[in-house]
Amino acid sequence: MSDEKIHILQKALQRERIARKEAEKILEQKSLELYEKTEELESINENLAKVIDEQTIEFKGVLDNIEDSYILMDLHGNVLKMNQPANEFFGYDIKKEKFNVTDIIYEEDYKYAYESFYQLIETGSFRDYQARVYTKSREVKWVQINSSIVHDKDGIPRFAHGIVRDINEAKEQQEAFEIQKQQLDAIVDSSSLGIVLTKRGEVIRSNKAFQQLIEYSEEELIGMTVADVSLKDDEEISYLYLNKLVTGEVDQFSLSKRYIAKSGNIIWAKTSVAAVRNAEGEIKYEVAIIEDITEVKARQEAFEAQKQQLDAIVDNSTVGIVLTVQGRVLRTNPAFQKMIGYTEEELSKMTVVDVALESDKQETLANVNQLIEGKIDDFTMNKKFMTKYGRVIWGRTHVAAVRDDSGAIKYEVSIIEDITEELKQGALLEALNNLMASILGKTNIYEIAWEITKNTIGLLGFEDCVIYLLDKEKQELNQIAAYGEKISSDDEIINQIAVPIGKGIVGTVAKTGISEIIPDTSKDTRYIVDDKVRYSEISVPIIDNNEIIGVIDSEHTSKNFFTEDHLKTLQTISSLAATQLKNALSLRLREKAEREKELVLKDLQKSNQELNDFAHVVSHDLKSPLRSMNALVNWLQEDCKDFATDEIDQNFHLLLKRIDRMDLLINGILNYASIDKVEMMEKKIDLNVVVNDILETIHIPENFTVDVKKKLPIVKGDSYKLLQLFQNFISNAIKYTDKEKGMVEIDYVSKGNFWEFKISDNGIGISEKYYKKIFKVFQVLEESDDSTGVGLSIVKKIIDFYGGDIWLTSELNKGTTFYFTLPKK
Amino acid sequence: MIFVFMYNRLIMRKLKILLIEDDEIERMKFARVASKLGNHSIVEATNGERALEVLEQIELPNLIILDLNMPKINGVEFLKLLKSNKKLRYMPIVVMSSSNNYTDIKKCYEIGVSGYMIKPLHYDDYKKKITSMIGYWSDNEIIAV
Repeated sequence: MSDEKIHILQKALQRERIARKEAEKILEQKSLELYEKTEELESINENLAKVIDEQTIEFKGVLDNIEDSYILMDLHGNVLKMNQPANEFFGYDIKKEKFNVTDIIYEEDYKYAYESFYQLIETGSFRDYQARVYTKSREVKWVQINSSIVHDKDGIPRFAHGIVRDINEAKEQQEAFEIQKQQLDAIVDSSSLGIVLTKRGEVIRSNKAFQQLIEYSEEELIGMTVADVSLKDDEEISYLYLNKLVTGEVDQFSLSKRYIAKSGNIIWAKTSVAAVRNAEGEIKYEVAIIEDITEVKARQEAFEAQKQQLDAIVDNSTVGIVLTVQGRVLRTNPAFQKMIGYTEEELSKMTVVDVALESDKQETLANVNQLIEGKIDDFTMNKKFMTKYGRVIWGRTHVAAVRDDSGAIKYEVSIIEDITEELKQGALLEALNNLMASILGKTNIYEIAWEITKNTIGLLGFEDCVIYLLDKEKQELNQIAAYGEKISSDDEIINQIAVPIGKGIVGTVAKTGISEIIPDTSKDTRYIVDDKVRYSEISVPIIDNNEIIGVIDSEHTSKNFFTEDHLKTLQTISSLAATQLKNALSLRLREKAEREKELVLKDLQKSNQELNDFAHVVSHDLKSPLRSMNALVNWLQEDCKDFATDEIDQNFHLLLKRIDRMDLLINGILNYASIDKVEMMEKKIDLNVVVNDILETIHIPENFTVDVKKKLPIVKGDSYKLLQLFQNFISNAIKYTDKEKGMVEIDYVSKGNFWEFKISDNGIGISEKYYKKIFKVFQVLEESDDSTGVGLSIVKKIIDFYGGDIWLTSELNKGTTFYFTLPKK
Repeated sequence: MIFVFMYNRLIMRKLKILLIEDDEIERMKFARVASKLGNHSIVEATNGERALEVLEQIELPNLIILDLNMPKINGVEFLKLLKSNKKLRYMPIVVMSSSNNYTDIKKCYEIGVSGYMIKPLHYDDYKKKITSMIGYWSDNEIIAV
């Protein structure tokens, strides 16, 4: 120990001695005072003790009754008294063991504890001390302590007591709350939605998202009002909603409104405002959640614009568009309404089945099923629709499914293009082709005409059509084929009429050859009512090689029905038909001529037959009596031969001569009549054989020569006729010879397709004036017993039959030369 | 004479002739000519119908002389009937007609006749024709079924 230290200690001791003397002095004085006071107090005390006792009892009861721990300690921290809850809480029993409060202070809380303790000493109390303590079992517990100093009657601090409250639970809750708060803050701060807490519109707190949105910092925002950042235009509606919130009508609302950012940008935001109310229902805060929908809004606007454009397109589209839900009509466009004839309202009560045709059902169902099953998203088919007016139209129909997220069909969008005309055109073209093909081979005008009316006219949408054919001889038009009401169920024209050329519209067209469209027949005086009055008419001539052969005519009940297109089509049909009709027509004429010829031939055959029969009758009935007469005369002659005179003999002779003559005439008639009636055997005939046969069968006088100049040709013909021909020439030559040596020469030359024969004799000759007469039947130039005047007429007949010619040159008394031709083949 | 007779017996058969002819004079002519040609027996029928009756009654003739133009059943019809009859179809038939009509002649031959003779105008010619015809047929072998 250093001297200095000792000195200090000595000084301190000195000071203490002095202080103690001083204190003892004071103590003596005080003791006296205390005594006096004690005396004074004792008297008071008795009264007071009573009061205190009472109070203590009272107080004790209070202490015993409070649930919180109660601790009484001296100013050194030694615990003097604890109530039952304190015992239980801390685990100490003060009656059994002493403990100091410093022993139970949680290490980390020492500083706080001592500070609080000094505060207690200096100020006399502390409140809301919150710290951790150890229990006897070294458990850490959160407590809240309110403490105060207890003074004695002289105002000297003696004890400290306090109420210890177990706040463990509360503390845990607070911690949990803190965590939640942190989490919530994190959420709020990290939220992409702007969140603002306001009190009567004044911003109390806001989150980052809102700050970013509005471009103000948290600090700047505090004190600002919602109105400060809102667009004035939206103020009214905002207040309207707010008012409802204030009056308690609603607890929250939501609206889309515009905010103004610091930079002046306008922001569309969906704002949801909720009220936080106190127990009285008054609004404490407003919580607003703000969602930036500027982009959404922009998209929405773009969408709206697009929708409008789309609507405009849909409404003005020429194709029909139909929106359906499971086939029920939701919306249609004007094009479809026009197409189908129903209004939107009528359609809204219909399903697609109502306008569909049964014939398409199967195909449609198959497609729709695939659509429902999700196998396809759309399909296209040509479908028939029944319009309100019962007309069937063809629609190229594209059906697409609009699906929801699950893939189920929300809507069906059908786009329908009316292709009726297109199909008609196609069908018409095809029909025209078919028509051409089908009439090409036909030769029957009726067939051709019917082909046109049946398979082509219907495709033009005409109600009726009549094809007229011109009868040139009668100069009138005849109905040969028809379509529509003009034909009966078994395809026959009802009430066929003939129209004279130049009369009516059809007659005019047939006369002028110029097609006509009559838009209103009631204003055309030429109009002729056929089966019924119709108000428009089209008439096209059928012309072949500048020759009008007929007219195609159609009428329609409506005025102005026929178009230039119709005219062109009809003209096409007309020209297609013209050539064929013309061919058929000429064929018909030819056939008619042939039929007439056939008829004439039949007549001829009939009359020939009659003539034949007549000849037969003649041959038998006239010849037989002659034969009988001849026999009878012979018998008479025989019977009379003994007494007959010369005169009787002469008469018998004359009688027999006349009988002969009669027979000759009859034979001549028969010959002439039957020369071209005999059954013909046309074949190659060798004329040499024919002539030889003649020379062998007829009697040729000895002074007569037949001279065949050269070998005769072979011709085609009937041997009997050719025999007759040559025999007549030869017999005539023999018969009419007056020369001592009669002769006949037979010669021929080739003349083109004919042989020209020359038969000349040296007979009596024929006067020129008889050249023609000799070929007529029964013309005899000279009365003779054995001449009938038939011979040369038979010759003429045969040559005519073969298409040859006959002529002659002759000189009286010198002879005659006959020329005739026969075809080589 | 005996020679002639012998000759006749030897080479000329006695014919049984059926003459079908509607004309009386014709029948007389035939009978007159035939009677001079030996002992031929002649049965006459004035038409086809009668002829059929006759054919049923008498022994079958050796030769039938047939006229074509007859009332009732005419010659052609009669021919057809005869040819369709099994018993009579082999009977020789000679047609005698005034018709030299080609069709008539052809038809007769088609049905089947043994001859077609045109009645000549002159009686002398007739005599010659009949004589040669009867002579011809009396020389022929004829069968009857």
